[in-house]
Amino acid sequence: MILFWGVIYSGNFYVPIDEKVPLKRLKHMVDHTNAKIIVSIKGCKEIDEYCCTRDIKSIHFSQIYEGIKIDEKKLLCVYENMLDIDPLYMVYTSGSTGKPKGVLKTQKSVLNFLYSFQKVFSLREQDVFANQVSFDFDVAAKDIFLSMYVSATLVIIPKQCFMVPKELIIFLNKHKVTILIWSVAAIRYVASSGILAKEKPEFLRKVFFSGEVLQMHELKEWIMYLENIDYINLYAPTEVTGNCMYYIVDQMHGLKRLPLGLVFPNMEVMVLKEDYQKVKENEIGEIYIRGAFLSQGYYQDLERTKKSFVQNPLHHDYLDVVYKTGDLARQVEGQLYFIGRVDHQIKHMGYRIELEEIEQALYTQTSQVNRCCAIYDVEKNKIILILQGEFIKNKKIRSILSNVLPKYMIPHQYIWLDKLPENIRGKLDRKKTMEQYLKMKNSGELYAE
Amino acid sequence: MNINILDYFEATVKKHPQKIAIMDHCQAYSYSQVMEMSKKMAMLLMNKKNPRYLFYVIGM
Repeated sequence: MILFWGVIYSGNFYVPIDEKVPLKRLKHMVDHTNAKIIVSIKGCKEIDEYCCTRDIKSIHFSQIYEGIKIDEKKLLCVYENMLDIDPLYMVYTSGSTGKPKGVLKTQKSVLNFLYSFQKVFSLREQDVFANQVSFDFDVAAKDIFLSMYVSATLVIIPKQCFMVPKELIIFLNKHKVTILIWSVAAIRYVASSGILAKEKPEFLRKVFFSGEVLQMHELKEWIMYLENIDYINLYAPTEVTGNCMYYIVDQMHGLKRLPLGLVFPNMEVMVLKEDYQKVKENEIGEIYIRGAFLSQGYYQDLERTKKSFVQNPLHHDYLDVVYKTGDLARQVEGQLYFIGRVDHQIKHMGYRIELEEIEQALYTQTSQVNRCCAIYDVEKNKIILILQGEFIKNKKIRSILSNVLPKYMIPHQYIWLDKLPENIRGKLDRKKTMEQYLKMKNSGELYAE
Repeated sequence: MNINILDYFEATVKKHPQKIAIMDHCQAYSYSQVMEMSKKMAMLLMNKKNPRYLFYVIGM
């Protein structure tokens, strides 16, 4: 965190990178950013060697304080030249081309997010935040800046605590942690470990989670043992600073799925159909976002920025940039529900189908399935559902799904795996799941039903 | 609303100089320590020739 603030004081922006990322990806990021300096906490031989070949200065954290004097006049000069539209930091997010995209977050977007978040959630200076995600993950920016904004304390959870759930709870209690802003993967990990039945985090006030859809049975595991806590589902793509929507879980309401909820002040979320009409009850549309939290787009990729950051399709009166997310939502009883990605839509038997909607439908009907992934076999013209969890007979799954889905959306084949592939963030890896399916199919492991 | 995040940071430092800002591996840093160390780091970075883009690698 000291490094982040140091970079900001120097009038530059930082790009957090986890040194554990594959070297090829790291090299791409170094080349893409045209970085002039790399600062590392520990020395890393491979990075140092790469810096030598690229005229990049490599600094280790320990070098920073050797005989340095602070020149306040010089710092003031930098401060006076800062603009709120300048980048504050940049994070990489996976791109459809396989190469990560750098998303630039400005001072303005960060400040607006902090202001709105605090207005809604009234965090306190007595609060203690417990950081779970690594700093190269955008969720961590909330820990860094929100804890400072409300004058709270931030504790970094040692990685080994996530290997022993009991240690994690002991750690949270030792530091009297009140606020968690975690990834869904971490919330899920604690829920599935069963630790909450034995040990409880005693000081928690609010639990925020984001990154993917948390299933209700996973959240219920938390609510069952920790009921006097606010649970908040946050939503936003990386292209928006912080989050743009939040849903405070109503524990009395028998929810089957988590809605996206309300929009933060100074932001607007529109769900539009292909003809740019706003969706009505039970219709699906693409999410468009406008407002003060929007990022500056993609670094060194004006073309892709122009494709995603577009003129508000509802008018052409003046420049009004909106972010076209590629996320789909359905409106049900006035609430919006995340359905899936535009890229995961298929056309089957003349119907447009969102594959993730099949998965979500199954989660609402059974807690026996821990995780599932619907894929489309174009060759066979069939929907395949790959599952992980407690085995259920095909006939039973079909019957369960037919309660909530039309016939044309019911998968044709069900394949059970011990574990579905995950990415480094613990999210379902759809590409690898598809590859695994094709491998099994081509090797003749799958039988015809 | 201020337009520079450093204004908020320095206001917090002024209000709670000795309060623990961050605790990492049993090492605690107060807000005033974080500010001082950050400024030192900024000086180091500014002494380098025009470092327009900075890269930070997290050691895990």
